Amino acid sequence: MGQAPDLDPKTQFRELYVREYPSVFRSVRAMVLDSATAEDLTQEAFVRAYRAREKYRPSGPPGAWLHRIAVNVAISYLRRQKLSRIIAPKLLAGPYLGDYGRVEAKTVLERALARLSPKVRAAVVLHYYHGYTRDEVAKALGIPSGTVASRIAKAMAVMRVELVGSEQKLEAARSER
Amino acid sequence: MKVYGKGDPLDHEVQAIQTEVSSWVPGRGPDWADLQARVVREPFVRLRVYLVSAATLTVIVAAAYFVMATFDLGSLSTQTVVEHTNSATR
Repeated sequence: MGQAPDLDPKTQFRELYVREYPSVFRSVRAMVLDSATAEDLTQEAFVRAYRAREKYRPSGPPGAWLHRIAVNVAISYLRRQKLSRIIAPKLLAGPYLGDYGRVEAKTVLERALARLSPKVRAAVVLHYYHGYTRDEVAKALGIPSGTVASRIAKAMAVMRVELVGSEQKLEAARSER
Repeated sequence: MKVYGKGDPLDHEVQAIQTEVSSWVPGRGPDWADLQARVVREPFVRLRVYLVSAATLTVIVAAAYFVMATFDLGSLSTQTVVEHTNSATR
């Protein structure tokens, strides 16, 4: 968690917005795997947070509260995308490439992340990048704490397979030269 | 010695995640004016969606009623009454 003092969303929302924007963006980016979409959804998440700021109860850090809103916004977006692909696949999107590997991954790690579901990607980023505890991740994702632990463990195992596979391919390519 | 389970991340894996995620930088960054504009705009957008949905539904229901009534279709068609006469009373 950040060491900066907690800002009150009711009275210091603008400061909170500026401070938390990059971190919320990264969580959303992990879920949708696209920067432009992530920026738009991050802004949408802050709009919702701004509207709900009076209802904020300081049971946890405001960052976790913002992440919870952002995760919900991203999940709604992904559901809409999935629905639009089912309703009008040819009009609204290109060929269906599966649930998680739609966006072209740019790096090996992004490819490994793309093998996970959006919620699990969010859990990995919230836990290993933002440093949230499993309880905080559970609250943000709306799942039990024990489920977070098992999902993160499975995610790491899946990512490891992808990373090791990429390393082996790289080694093979090097040895051919 | 640290013993890793199958799903436990290795230090370099956590490092790789942190490096990767750090490289994701928003292109525009926070835009307070845009946020305020969206806050003002959103209720009207939502209201418009509701109004358009309600109007569309009304048109569909009215059109269905007129088509069914005009062409004598479905439950709006002329109802046939089956008369059961008791042969014993004849």
